[in-house]
Amino acid sequence: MSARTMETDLQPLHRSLQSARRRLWWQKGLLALARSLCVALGLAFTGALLTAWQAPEPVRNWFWIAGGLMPLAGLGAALAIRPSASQAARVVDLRLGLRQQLGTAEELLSRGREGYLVSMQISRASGVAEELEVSKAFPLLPRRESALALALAGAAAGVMILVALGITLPNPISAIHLPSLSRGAAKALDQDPFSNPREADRPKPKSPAVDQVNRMLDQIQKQAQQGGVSSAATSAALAQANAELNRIANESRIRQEALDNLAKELQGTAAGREAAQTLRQGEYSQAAQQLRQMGQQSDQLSASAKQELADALNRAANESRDAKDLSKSERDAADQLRQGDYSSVVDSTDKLAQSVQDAANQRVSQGELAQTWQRLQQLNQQFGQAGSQNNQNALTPPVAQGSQEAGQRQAGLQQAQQQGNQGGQQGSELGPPQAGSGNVGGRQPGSGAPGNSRGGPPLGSQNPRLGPDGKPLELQGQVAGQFPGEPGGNSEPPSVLRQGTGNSAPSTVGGGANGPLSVPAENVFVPGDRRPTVRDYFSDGSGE
Amino acid sequence: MIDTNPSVDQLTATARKIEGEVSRVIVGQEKTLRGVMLCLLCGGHALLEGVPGLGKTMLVRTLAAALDLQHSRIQFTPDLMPGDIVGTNILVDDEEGQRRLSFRPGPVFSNLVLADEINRATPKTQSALLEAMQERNVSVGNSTFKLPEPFFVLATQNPIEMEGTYPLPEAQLDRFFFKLRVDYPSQEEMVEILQRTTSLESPHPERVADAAWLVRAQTVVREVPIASYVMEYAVRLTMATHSDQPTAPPMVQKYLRYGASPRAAQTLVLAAKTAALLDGRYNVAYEDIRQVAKPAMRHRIITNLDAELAAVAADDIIDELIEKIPEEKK
Repeated sequence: MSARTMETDLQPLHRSLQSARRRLWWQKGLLALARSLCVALGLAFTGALLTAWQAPEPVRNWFWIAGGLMPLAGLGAALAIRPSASQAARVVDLRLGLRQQLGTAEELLSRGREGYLVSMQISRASGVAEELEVSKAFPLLPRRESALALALAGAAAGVMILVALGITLPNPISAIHLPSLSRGAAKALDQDPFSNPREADRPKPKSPAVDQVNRMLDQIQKQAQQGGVSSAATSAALAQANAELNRIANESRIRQEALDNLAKELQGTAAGREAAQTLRQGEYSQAAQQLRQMGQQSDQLSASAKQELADALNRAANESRDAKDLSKSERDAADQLRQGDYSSVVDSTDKLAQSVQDAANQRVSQGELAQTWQRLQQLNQQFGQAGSQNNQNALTPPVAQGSQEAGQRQAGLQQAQQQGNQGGQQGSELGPPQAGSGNVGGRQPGSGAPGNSRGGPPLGSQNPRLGPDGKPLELQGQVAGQFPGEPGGNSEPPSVLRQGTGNSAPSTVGGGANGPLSVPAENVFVPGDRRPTVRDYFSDGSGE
Repeated sequence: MIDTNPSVDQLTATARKIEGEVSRVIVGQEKTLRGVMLCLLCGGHALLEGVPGLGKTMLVRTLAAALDLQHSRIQFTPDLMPGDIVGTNILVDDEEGQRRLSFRPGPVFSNLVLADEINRATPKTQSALLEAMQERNVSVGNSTFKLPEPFFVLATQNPIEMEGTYPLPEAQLDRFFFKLRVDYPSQEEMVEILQRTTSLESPHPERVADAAWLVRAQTVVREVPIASYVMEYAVRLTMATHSDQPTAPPMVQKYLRYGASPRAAQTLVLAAKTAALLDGRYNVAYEDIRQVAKPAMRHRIITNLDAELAAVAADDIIDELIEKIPEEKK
């Protein structure tokens, strides 16, 4: 075959390949554009959803901007991916099943190969190329991407129409309900009893001490309803009940802190780590059992392990001096571990386990305290309301009427002040009974008490507590017996937290003469950052 | 170089005609016949593996008749000596009455040699034949004798009876261009075999080509163009049999002890070229490579003990290779 013949044969191959190359470019370009459009519409759809969910505007804007840039990126990619003639030939071969005829011929041409079979091959490939239906090999419209783009565009447009019509869409992220989370996930989110449904979830027996306060309140209510006592006497009785409740809460907190300290110190020891973890999980019965076992197996411990354990118990005892029983048991157990024989170690650890069990049992549940406190508030509202308008009179004992009124009122004031100072001192030193947060200065109307014993942060929890606005809360002393604008007028919450610093005067706590405290119980007992979760957890779906 | 159009077309037509003539005698065995034809046209030797009685000797005899080639048959036995194959010097009386040593050629001096049950002979005898296959000449004493052109060895071995046999070493197996499996005929083919062989008239093949044609054809097939990316595919297939290669499929890494040699890649390309030509094309396609992969590679990859325990054959691994190795490089 002559060179002239070969050139003649090459023309249709080149022509067909050029056509195929253009078509392939179009196809690849349109595909890149379609894919970028799909991504853009996906971003637009996400942006529309975020708009419907009223997400922060900067976040939404990022999606819209990224969505707008994607088609431009797709266009750039489409222009950049211009295929070569060889690529086009190989793609045509594969798509039309030409058994690499065009690709081989194109390569032979580009490399300038010669030979009889080479000429034959190129000639045959040219013949095939002439009859080539390029449109079959390269359909321009990417169907799958087009369908996806249409679907995404429709979805985004639908969401935007709903937004324009003012129809809100349910936000699945905020609808996630804590109890519905798996136990492991909930545990991973938080380690406190909010998400620990074990012992914290179980209904605790009623505390006798709180029960006694409730009986006091019953009596106050009964007497007040019968009209047998004056409003001042009622207020004084309520203040006394409040002080008692505060004492109970304080003791409960001390015990909880002692248990926490024990867990903390045991965590650092090899022998006591298991019990420490159980203590941290709030499984006090099991922890007591583990402490007993630890004592029974003490003969298997090395001297250094015993010493380590004794040191840990000693440290826990030093940190928990206020919980005298538990502290003493810890110290005894430490002493026996250091120098005692096996039986005395077993006895002392038995006692320690019993002390742990007792301390756990003597804690008062948050729900119980909250219920009593709420009731106290209600009684204060009912029977101390008159006093709020004229608290001085309300606090004045009945005997203060007439000539003796001033002197008796002074005596009442002194008594109330004494109580108030005492309570304030307690509050200052010991903190809130539930270590909860409250914002007395910004009291909100209404109240939402934790209705049962399921909720509430742990007593003595060492987490920093924040107010609703995220600022740290400062503890203010107990102001029992002092009502807004009037010392000795009424009781305060078991302990009062005040936001900000610099004003610890008890008389300023009320923030106004608006009668009984109306702080929602959750504001007192629940950290600010936990409130939406707790509110959601206790709500029955009616939004209350 | 053959530079006339009719020659190439004639070559393809003649090759098909040879296949047709052999098919008149040999019933079925199309794949085996195509494999033998590819070996003939590529100038390689074939190792046929199959139980006795499947027509291997008949195949060689028919091919020799159709190609008008001189053929011989050597039955390998344990007591066969190298001299029995390549020939030996014997004392002869010349015209003057003097005695002298004269070389008497062995049966290897033929165009078509059937080495029947090659694994029954000792390694020494096997290597004598294999040297002849590789070098295409034999050395006896101080003399070297060239073997006739074309020279084609078709060796057979029985896969069942292994007792008293000397399996061919891997290095010698590598010298066979193809290893072909001869399967049992189907029921219809069996009926046809009976009809042809149990009557008075038995078909005889006609002479279609000659030795010169075969030599010329062996030159032409090497001219078939192959694109670089198709050749790369053959190389990727070969490289993927090496278990230390990242492209090696899991089956290769697990079951192969040794991968295929470069000779396997050469065989793949050359056989694919011939297959393309027999298919009427002037270029090699991916499917040509795939078509010849098994006979070209099955005796060149060595499986390990795990493969034997799991009953994984070399063909299974090649199937895996073909499935896992993409045609187009990614």
